[in-house]
Amino acid sequence: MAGRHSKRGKGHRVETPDLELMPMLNVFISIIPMLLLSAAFVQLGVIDTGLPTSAATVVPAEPNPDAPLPVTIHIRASDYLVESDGSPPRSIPRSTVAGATADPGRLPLEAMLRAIAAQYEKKPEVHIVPAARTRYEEIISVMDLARGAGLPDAVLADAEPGVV
Amino acid sequence: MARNVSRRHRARAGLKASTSVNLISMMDILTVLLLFLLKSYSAGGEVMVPQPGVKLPESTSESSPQASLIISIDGDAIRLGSEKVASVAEVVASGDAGIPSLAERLPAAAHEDASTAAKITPVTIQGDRNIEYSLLRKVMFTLSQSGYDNVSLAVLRKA
Repeated sequence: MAGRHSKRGKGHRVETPDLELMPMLNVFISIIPMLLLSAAFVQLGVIDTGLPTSAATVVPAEPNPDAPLPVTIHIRASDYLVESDGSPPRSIPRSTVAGATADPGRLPLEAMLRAIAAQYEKKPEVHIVPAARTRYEEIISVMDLARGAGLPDAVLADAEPGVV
Repeated sequence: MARNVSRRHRARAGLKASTSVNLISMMDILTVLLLFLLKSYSAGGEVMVPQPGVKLPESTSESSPQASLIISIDGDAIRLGSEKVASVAEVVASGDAGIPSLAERLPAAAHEDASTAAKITPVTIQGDRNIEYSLLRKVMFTLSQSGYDNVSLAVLRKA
């Protein structure tokens, strides 16, 4: 710490403190390049998923609160088709013009999934069955919807038995 | 005039002029930069970088990536790590359920990773947001056939 002396009156010296910033500056200059190299500016995440299985393995049965059957969501060009616990498939129309985020079918689908999730204490697995031409972004979007609705376990499934 | 006197006085006394740089503003900038970098610093987990040319879809998933084998799929090619293993156009055109050129390289990758503690090598697929499911399915089918069951899909975390 260096001091700067200034005279104030005769014989009186007042010391004004002056911070020695160089060591701190050196530390900063060492740390910042290291952090720049290790910083992740794009936050990546992952979705753990199973490999595609056949949706045909889902056999409709009577509702069983202890072991609920998987919920199957078919992503088709014109609609989402939701099958849950042996009930008849329910169709939710969707737009094929706008992007996935502007899809008008998203809200009804989310409401339906929330209602299904609320029925069970043990949450059923969600099988997502995309059509061959479904964009990857739409699949991730439906997985997010299911997770947001309280059904966190989503796996990809295949509509045609025997393909995968 | 006064400055000349002062200089002469200093020169006579053998003193050197001391100049001080005002570092406060620089310190302010560096402090802000440091805080920003510390905020984005990832201390734990695996730092995964998206492959060039791959626009990942956004997701609300909060799972962090692990050290894994990376397969990236963009509009042109399928890559294992940074090595191109197949052309997307050829894979789409072929009637095969899997991708033979990818399958050929996968066992080698599994063998390399066999030295690590993990019995089953996890695989992370970095797929472009616009690829079709039929292509993704072929990649996943190939992985399944090669014994890779632990598969994750890479996404961009929504802010």
